[in-house]
Amino acid sequence: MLAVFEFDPGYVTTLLSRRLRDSPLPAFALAAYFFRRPSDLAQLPEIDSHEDLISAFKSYFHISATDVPLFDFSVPAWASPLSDDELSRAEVVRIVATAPHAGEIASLLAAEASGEVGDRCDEIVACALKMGQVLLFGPPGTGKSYWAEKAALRLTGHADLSVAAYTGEVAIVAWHPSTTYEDFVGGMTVRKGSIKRRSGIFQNFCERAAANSTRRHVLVVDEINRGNTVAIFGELLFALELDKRGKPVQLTDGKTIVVPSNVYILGTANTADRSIAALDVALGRRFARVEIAPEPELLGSTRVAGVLLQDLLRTLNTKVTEAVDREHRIGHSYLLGGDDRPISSFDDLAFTMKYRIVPLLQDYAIDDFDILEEILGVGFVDAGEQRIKAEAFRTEAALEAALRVLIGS
Amino acid sequence: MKYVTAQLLHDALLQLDTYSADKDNRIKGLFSVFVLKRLGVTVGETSALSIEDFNNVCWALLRVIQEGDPASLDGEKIYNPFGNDPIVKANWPRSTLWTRITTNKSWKGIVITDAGGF
Repeated sequence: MLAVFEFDPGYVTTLLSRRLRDSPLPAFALAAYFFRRPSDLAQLPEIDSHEDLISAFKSYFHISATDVPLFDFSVPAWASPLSDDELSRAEVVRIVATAPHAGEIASLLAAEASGEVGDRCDEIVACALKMGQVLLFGPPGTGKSYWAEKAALRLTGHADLSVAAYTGEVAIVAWHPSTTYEDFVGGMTVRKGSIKRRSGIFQNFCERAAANSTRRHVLVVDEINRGNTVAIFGELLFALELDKRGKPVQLTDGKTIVVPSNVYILGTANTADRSIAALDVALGRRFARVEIAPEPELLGSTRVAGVLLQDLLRTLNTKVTEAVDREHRIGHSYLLGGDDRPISSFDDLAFTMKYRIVPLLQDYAIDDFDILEEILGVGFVDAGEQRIKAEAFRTEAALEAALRVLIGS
Repeated sequence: MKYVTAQLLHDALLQLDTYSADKDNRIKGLFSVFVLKRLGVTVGETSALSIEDFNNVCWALLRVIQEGDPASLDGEKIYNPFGNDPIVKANWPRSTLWTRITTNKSWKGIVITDAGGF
């Protein structure tokens, strides 16, 4: 479809008096902005000087003699020299982000610059935009909640979770076996001796989102598979699909709820706690599913007690997968310190093995010491005496010896 | 071939912001004039343009985050040097420069158009 345009014969006068307040446009600054990356443009003439920038501006925009009063074509005093190298896209984005009025771009970049927005976050955001709901699932310690929060920030354009929470655009709730439909959606509750209806967390969240429809709102539901998901969502299951958004859904108590199109749900599910295969099919098909698996490579080349932490985690997970199943693998965060760096001292590794990893595996093996010995090796477990060898954690040499048995070297 | 440096781009953006600061709100729409100029619109002669024409010029001139960049997933971010907040809507060139063009009275005295858009 085509439309026909032409400039009004008096357009230069009109622009100057009504838009520019008789102040000609700075052609050099415009040229520097528009021609920031010549390789993104077509048919831009060769530029070798400041004057060429202005000439290129005139030819690129077909500036005629009639247009001349609209512009100041002088080279300003602040014009610093040109370079032999073209700006990268990343550099352009960085500079624009520091410019006035660049709030949203700036917050996006702040998240990117922190190195926390990588392929994983992109994947979650893309899934959320496509389906509205995403389920992040994986074994404990793989960073499901971490990625859910990062994706929530990306979706809302905030750089800081506390700010996002303060605006009401991101809310985080955790489900547990006692979480009910009345807590989440709403229902009758006893208050001061009388029965009254109370809106649930999600209904309030949807109302807030509807009142601010130009902004995305993200509800993070941690441990979603610890609650009775089908019962908690109730008739909302129908309303979650993107093509059903914005339509009122009748609730059992006679009220209606509308899930606006700017609401997104990011759920996390610990597969060691309860398999997501147990999730209701109707619920499952409304969530995009992203597996957050252990990433041993995040442990880098850190070596403690003579053992490469990457090798330790890989070996443990191979053995857990064989002896139990892959849903009970151990996440990399067990071997990360509070600063998100790999633990680096004997004391920390001994503590982690003794008080975090071994007890976790005892739970998985339901105290079957034959299975435990199969996973941890004879350096840590004495299946005959049905005990964990406490002496393996006492000295660095003892720990190294037990670890070497575990990883088979 | 020589290129704009980071410093020069930064200074240019500041200059454009300073320039826009004492103008009224309609200065934000000035970019449209550059789109039309680039597309060869002139006085006394009509130019037939498509939505695609508008899109192509807008992306080339305003887009700061390109397709394929991680941050482009939730919409191409474009930056209006005349003071608009960054615009996320991917269809901004169409909606602003095409669909609304005949109803945008501030074009009066600047652009003559037939009943374009839809």
